[in-house]
Amino acid sequence: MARTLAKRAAYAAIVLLALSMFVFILFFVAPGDPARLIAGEKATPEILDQVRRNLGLDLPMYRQYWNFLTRALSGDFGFSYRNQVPVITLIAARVPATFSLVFGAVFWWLAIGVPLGILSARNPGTWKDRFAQVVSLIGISFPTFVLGMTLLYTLYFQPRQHGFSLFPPGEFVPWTEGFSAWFVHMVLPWFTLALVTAALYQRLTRAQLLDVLGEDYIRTARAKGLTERRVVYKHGMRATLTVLTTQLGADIGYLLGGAIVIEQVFGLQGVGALAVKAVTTQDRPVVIGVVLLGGFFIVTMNLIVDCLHVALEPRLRTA
Amino acid sequence: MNSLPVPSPDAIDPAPASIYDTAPDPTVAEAGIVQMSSWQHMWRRLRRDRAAMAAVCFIVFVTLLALAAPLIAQMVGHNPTEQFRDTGLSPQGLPVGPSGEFLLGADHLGRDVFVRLTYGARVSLLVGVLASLLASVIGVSVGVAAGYFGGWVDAVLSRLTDFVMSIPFLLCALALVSVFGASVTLCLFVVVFFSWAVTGRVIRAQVRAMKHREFVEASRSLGASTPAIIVKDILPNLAEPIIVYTTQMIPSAIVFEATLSFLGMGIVPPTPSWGGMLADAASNSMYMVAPWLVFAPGAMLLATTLAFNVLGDGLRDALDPGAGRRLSGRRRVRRRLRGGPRG
Repeated sequence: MARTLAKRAAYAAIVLLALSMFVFILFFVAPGDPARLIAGEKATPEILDQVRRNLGLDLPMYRQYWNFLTRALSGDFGFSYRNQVPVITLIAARVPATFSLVFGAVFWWLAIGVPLGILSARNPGTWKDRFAQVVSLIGISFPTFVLGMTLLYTLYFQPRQHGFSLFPPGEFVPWTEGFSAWFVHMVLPWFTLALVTAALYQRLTRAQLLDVLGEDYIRTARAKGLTERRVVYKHGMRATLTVLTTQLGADIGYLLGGAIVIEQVFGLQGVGALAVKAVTTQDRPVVIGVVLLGGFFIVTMNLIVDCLHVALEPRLRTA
Repeated sequence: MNSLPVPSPDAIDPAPASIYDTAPDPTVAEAGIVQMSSWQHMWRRLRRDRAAMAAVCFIVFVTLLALAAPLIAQMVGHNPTEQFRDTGLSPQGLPVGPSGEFLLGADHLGRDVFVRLTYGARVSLLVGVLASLLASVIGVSVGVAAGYFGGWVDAVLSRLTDFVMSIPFLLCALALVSVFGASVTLCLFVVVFFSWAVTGRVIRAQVRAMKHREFVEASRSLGASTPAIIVKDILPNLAEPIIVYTTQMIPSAIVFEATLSFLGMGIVPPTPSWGGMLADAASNSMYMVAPWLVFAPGAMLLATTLAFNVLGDGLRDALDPGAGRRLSGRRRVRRRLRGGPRG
């Protein structure tokens, strides 16, 4: 078991290494001269040379990559081309907004999606099941930004037109500046993300729980005379948890690297918004930093999920 | 729920649906019972699925709209990129709402939203369908190779699949666009590159299970070559999952393209695309005063993805009637779903 986890950890490291190579080569072959981006349009050739030497841009590619890698391992991703601030500082400033968004939304989408899935699986083929399935189909089909703009229009703008304020749009208020202000500002972004994702969890829970409820050991549990509630929640859900945690780990890991669309729609100053801005301004160190951070969150969450599975499934402990 | 399938009263075909793929028996044929292929069964079940048929109708409608886009533009008299600053904008410079001249209103530059919507359908369908087909070809090739050959081929391809599934794909797409500049080709490439992995994984599992089945062993013992076995024995048996997975990939691909265009990284303006139209609506919060800028392309996008999702589910159920409510519990797979970018 420890060996499996060690193997997974090594694999995670390889993924990150490959990802770093991918972005590095991408930007190395890219047209455009970073020195000119930093020094400006009017820079003389001497100044450009100076900038290149300072940044090590005159070195061969493998040397540049090595320098980049060794620094990145100690948390140094270089400086932004635009304002000379360390990339890591820029990212750190954006992390609270993204984390608030993601972990808040996780709570809501689990609270909505999983119970709806259980409802469906306990009453397959009935109107309750149909209802939950129709709702989740619509949720799955809703592009996030369309839902976000619709909610903003109906729940923020329309009430404001009529002179009362229901929910403010989602600009980020750190919770150190007041819990309730933080909360109301996050409500719309949370629900936008939660509703589209809850739909997926409804489908996942339903499919998996239906599978599990057909197993022999569930019949045994029923034959023992356990209440249906106990059969479903104790024995059925336990086996469903594996699948749910796998998906949850993947989703959280992916979103922590920047919930780009939501942040864009609601004007949240998160990591994703930073990435979009860096891309439009050709700020390469920032793009590289955000991509690697995103990859880091994904592989880390997958590792955590692997550990959780060992805890959840006794069978894995001996394997 | 679990009663035998009863032929619907309007079915003229007298064949009972319970006779599946039996060998043609002359006495049965004389009795007027016709053997049906599994495709005919699928079509029959799909035809009875009202939601799926409604979805098909809507997809046909959108396709016609896309094909007729130049015709519609001519009829309305508005070019999709033409700016009608006199009639499309109010004296204050705000877009005018739906009216006789602009059926679905005008946008912030005084362009006709309805005409742009029909042209946007072209982009969405083209990128959505083409990307899904290409991703499906790649996914199936990788899956078949990994599943059939096993060994180091499987190891390499499976790691590659895992890698593609564990990179932050929207961020990487942004990085790619920032380097190469936005274009339709790059948009298509990005969607394909980040979409094939799920299909690859599913097909690999299916091929591995199929590899040692009797009919494959029989072909092999008769001296069939590896390519022949793959083409004649393996692929025909994968047709059903391939169709279902390709259909289910289309809505994600459409949303993916729209998301890229929404972020300004997909289809380059002024070419109309639904994602781009929504981006125009979002810039300066223009949609707060002109809500039709969101509701027209938003509703089309939602309805189109919904239609493809319903059709995908319908096809899945028609090909494998138990899948939606399977109670046998034999097929426990570690599912990891991924639609388009949700964040």
